[in-house]
Amino acid sequence: MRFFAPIVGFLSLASTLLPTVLADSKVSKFTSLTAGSKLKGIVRLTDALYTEFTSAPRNYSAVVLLTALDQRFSCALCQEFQPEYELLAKSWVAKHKSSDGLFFGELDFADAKATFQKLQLTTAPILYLFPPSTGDNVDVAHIETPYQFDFTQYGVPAEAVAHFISQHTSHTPPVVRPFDYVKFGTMAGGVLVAIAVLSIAFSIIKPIIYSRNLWAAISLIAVLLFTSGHMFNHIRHVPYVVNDGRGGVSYVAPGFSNQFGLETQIVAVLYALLAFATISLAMKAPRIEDPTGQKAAILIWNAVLLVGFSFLMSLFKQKNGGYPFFLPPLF
Amino acid sequence: MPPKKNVSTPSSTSAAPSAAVATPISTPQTSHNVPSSNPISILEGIFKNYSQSTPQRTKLIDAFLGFLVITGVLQFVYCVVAGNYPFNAFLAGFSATVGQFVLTASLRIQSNPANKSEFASVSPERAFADFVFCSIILHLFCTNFIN
Amino acid sequence: MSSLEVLLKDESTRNIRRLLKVVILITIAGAAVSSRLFSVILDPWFNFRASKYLVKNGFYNFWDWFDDRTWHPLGRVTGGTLYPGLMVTSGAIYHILRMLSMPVDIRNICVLLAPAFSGLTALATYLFTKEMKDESAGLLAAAFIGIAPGYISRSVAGSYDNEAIAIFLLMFTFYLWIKALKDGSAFWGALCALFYFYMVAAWGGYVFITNMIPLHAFVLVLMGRYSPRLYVAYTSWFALGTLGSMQIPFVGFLPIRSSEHMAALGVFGLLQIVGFVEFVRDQVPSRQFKTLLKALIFIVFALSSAVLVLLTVSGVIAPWSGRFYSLWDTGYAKIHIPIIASVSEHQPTAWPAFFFDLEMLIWLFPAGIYMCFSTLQDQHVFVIIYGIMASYFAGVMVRLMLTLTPVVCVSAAIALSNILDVYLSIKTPAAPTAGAPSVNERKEKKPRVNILSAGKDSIVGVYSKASKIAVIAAFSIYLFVFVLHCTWVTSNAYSSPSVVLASRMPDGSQHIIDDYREAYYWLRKNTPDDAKIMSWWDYGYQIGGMADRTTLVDNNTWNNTHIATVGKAMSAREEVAYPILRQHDVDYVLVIFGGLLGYSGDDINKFLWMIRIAEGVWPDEVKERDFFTPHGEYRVDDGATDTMKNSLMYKMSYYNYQSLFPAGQAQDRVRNAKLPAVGPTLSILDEAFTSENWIVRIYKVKDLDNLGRDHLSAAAFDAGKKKSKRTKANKGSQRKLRVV
Repeated sequence: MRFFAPIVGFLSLASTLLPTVLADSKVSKFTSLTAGSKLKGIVRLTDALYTEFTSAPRNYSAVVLLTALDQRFSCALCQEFQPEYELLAKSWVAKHKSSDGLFFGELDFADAKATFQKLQLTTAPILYLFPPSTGDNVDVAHIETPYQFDFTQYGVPAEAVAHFISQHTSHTPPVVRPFDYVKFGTMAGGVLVAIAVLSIAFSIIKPIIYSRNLWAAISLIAVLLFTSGHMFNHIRHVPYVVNDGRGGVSYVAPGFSNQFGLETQIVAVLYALLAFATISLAMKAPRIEDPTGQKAAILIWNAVLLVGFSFLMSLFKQKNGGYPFFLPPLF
Repeated sequence: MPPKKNVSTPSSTSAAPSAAVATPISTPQTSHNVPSSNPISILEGIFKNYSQSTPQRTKLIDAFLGFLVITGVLQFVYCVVAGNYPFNAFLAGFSATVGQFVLTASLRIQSNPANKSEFASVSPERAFADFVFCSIILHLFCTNFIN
Repeated sequence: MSSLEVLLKDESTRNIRRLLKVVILITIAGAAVSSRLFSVILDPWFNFRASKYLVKNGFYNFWDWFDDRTWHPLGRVTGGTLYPGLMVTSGAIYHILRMLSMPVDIRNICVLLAPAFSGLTALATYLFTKEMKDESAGLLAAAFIGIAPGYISRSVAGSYDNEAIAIFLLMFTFYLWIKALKDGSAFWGALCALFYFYMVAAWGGYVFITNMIPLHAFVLVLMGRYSPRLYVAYTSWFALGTLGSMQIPFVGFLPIRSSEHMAALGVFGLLQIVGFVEFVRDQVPSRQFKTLLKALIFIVFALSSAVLVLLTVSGVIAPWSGRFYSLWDTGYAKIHIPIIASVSEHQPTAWPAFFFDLEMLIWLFPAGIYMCFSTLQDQHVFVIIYGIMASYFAGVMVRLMLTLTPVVCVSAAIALSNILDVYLSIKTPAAPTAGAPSVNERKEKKPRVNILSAGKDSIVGVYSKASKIAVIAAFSIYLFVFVLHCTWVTSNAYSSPSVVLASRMPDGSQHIIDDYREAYYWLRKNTPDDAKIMSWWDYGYQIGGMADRTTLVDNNTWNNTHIATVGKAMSAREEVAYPILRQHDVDYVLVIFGGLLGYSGDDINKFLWMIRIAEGVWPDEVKERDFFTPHGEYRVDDGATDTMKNSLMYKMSYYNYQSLFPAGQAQDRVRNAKLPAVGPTLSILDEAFTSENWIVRIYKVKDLDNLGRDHLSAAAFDAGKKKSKRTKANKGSQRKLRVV
């Protein structure tokens, strides 16, 4: 017994110290890995490193991005997020040379298929945040199960991720977007060139700018676009046409408050046609000096108006089943 | 009270148009050519032109405009220097000045015989009545706003 | 009716024409009023309550009114947080009628205010269009606005809302602005400012005017159409209107602080500079000096905009308010202000809605815009800008269809009256060889006829009677169909207020579903006077108005956190929700459930917004993801997530619902889902009332258990003790409630 006492003592001491020692050694390891990494501020992980990086005794916060950058996977979001993530990590190590308890790791599917299988992940990218498992205020619920960043809700900006990290840990990572001199230069140059070109060519451009026809065209197109529901398409991202399930294509969306892209274009063209027929009847026809020609023009435009409006009403009837009115010739 | 005072003035203006029309017609655009590009001489030319071609009544309006500009500047300086503590009061005062300025400027434009073609339906008397009407509303709003 | 007028226009007797015009206008106003009387039920109850308070307690008390019956326990400083125009208007009418010894109940005034003002809107539109073209176009426009469904939707009898008077004010302010601009008269400018002030007092949409008029002035300056008239009209409007708008406590200093008002200020400054330059130009003819001045303008303009940007960045001037900003960046609202994005009338507009609300006017509208281009005077520029801006806004938000409708009516009237002018003219030109075609005198006055590709010759006229008859006949048919359409839309879609649902039976007869009023009446009769009702904010005004009980949140969504609290309580588990309910003294919880009837506007469909709004405030406690299955579906059946199934909202909606169906057959008809065989259990709430069609369900919050147990274990204990008895009693009590 007497022999064992110190051993037991040592063991008990070790059991308290060991995690700390272990964790400390991990800190130094990942600090050096971070410093030596090709991607500034990000540890490139493998299967083994991932386990070590995220496993239990941690006295640091670990952010891990599981991604699939290889072109074969055509993961657009991964490509989109990558520069943002790099920016975030870079901004952090620029301020905190020795990482100071927050590490950024990245695991590519190409390097670590096993981890993806183990975690049963089928989508990428996924961003995990492991808060510290030792220390003062341990987040017990999240020692094993990390926080997950919601890409669908917050999108990809580095600021959103930084906010996410600051919500769950004591760190508030800054995001320092480097000033893009090239972009600024091209912008400034472009503006200067544009001004120069404008001032030189002003005499040529002036009649165009003051051209009533041009402005009329722009205004009419704008009005037609807006009144045919273009903003709805823009906001709701509706499909252009939809497969109707029988091998054909359906142009007209069922339902009163839904529409397809092509459908709105048909409607816009229809409105334009009707408006043009009206304009022709009101302004062009009475200026035709030849009586027969005038008669023919009036007849034609009148017919166009009738058929167009009739088609419009039948189209509307398709959208709103209970609509009782119609115009000949279409029912 | 102030409206009454205002009302009393048009009786004197009513005699004005004949004079106002008579004088400027002789000097509308036949102003001095200023050949020299020397800024001082340009300014001199402007001043000369102005004092010759402007009717007395318009000069009175201009003096009032000048007064309003000075008041506005003073108010603004006061606000910057001494702070805008009763913000309501400062705002009411300042907008009274600015509002009165633009109304007076409108009156000046409307009663300018050179603009007669523009304002077919606004005679100088009508312009003055408009001016009084607008000023009353302006000051009503301001007094209400000062609290 | 209007074609008759145009026909008679050619006759010489002036007086008859004038009389006829008045008669027609009165007829139009009468038609406008009567088409809005299909059914009469007072709808926005809060405004009505406020009006009653105003009439009872006087204007000054109304100004300081603190309403403790809403937003419990916060209360609401009502006087400072509403647009008082509507209530003051009906209050004034009430007192005037009283003075004329015609004692009318304030309730009747409230019901009939919207139709009455729509008659005035027709008048204002007439005046406005008259300034654009001529009287016949004005009469057409008045007739259009009188019956266009896009405007009827907000002005049927009993829809006592700000928009009811706002559209009249909008059109009248615009008319006065055009008048001021045309005459260059400070008097009209001041009147415009006064009506602008009224508009500010009445509707938050006044910002539209605040930006339309400066935009018009700015475009005119850019087009080189600056004139002293513009200076007089704009400055008199701006100086008086801005000062006036600051008198409304709810607006306060916004006109000098917030970005949406800065355009007006900027154009004001610009006009001062341009005016000054014009003044100096008259004095100095030197050419060099002018270029110098041009440079000066440019520098001053650039400097002042830089200062503006600087002030905005440094926070002195508030950036654009969220509501306004969401109009430009259409994705903004969904992320940052879910409470705005959640409202159904803030959704974008699909094309059928345009056709539904405007029918043939929608394609006459571009034609009218084109015709404005062909006679491009200052006032036509206004119609064009208004048309483009309003159609954009209407495309982004269904609700703003309301601001589009007037300009569509004006523009369509211009187009149609051009057609009628040509084809209703009795004069037939002589054979082309005669050489001297009869020229329409009005057309000749235009500064530049047919600049727009309409042929270089002047108007000849129509030779053949047959083509005249054909065109007129066609347009008469279109107009006739238009009137039919408007009547149909009005009687079908817009005449039933939101508290009463109308449904069609298979045999085509109409069936009225009156669950809301049934439930509110139950609340009024069966709950203590000081009971606090928790519901989603959509129903706040109705509960306050019809049931006269205190609510936690209502349609005036001024406090996002409070709404989020309700959202959290609804989306949380029972044991989390209970402390929230207790903290806010909630006695009853009210939910809307459409599953039995297939009513899609129910709370389960709105639930996602509650979750989103709650998540915005407590991102750690409420998570939208948890309500979606791993496949990203929003489900209520067996596949629903546990979070969903345990949420208070889910439980309240489906509680006891299974008992209506044979075992395992429970069906939700809105979401077409088969519900789990075992229904949810509730331990902190008791079912108090369920309406006839199960649309409204009311639950009573249990008191703290008198044995000190938590509710779950108490319920479990009870369930074990009297299992058989309980189910029977439950059914019995329900049946009894139905009878009530």
